[in-house]
Amino acid sequence: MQLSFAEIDGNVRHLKLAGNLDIAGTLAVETKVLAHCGGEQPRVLIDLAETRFVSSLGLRLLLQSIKTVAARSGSISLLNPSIPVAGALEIAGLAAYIFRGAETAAAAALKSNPSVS
Amino acid sequence: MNTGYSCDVANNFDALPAAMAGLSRWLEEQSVAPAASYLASLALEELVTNCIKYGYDDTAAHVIQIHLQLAGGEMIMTVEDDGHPFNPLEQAEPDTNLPIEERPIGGLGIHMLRKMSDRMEYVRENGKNRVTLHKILNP
Repeated sequence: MQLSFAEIDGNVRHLKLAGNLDIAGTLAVETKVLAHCGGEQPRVLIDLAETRFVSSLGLRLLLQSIKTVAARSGSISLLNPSIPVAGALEIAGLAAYIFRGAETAAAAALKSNPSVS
Repeated sequence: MNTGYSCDVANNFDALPAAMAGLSRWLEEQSVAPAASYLASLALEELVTNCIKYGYDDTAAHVIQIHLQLAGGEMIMTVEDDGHPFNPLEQAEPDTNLPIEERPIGGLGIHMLRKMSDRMEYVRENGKNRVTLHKILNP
């Protein structure tokens, strides 16, 4: 599992997760992912376009990320998951956080609707 | 098509990555549909992890047996272990409609297996747990 980070428009945190969010993959990135969800009113995009697999441990990390951001009155979206990964997210009750489209559009959506979460 | 795959996984977390990789290779070689392939990988990780974490009180080596069969347009996966009796079908389903701040963090693994499979069965026989998952390959 590889995590890459970039800022969009200066204050939207774009985290890209490439690989499998299984036990090994989740343990490899969880501290860094949660660190990016901190601060005041964080705006976070977790890009899942290159995430092939999410197990329950990976879902825990995504749920924890959403809770962390929500507790700080921020906004967060799960960007462009594949169909199987989206299916797992939907079963876990996270469908409302899925955003499909360009990352800039997602960033704009976070800006215009900070209560998306 | 009638093709099978078997592997034994030791009851320690170090054994999981190789087991996952071996299963993934085989699923890819067989061109198994993405939804079934996802379910198989998920079942391996969730059921073996549960067994390693909660299945044994001793420190002895145990083996968790995995069998997959592709037959009659269906994938049938069996996970068998000699751990404590554990019926995943008796696990309470998490309420995924709760507001996010009230949402429990855990309990999603078995829930996902139940939702993603077409049928899930459990038997306790000869001192072993056996969970069987059925997935129609081309619904």
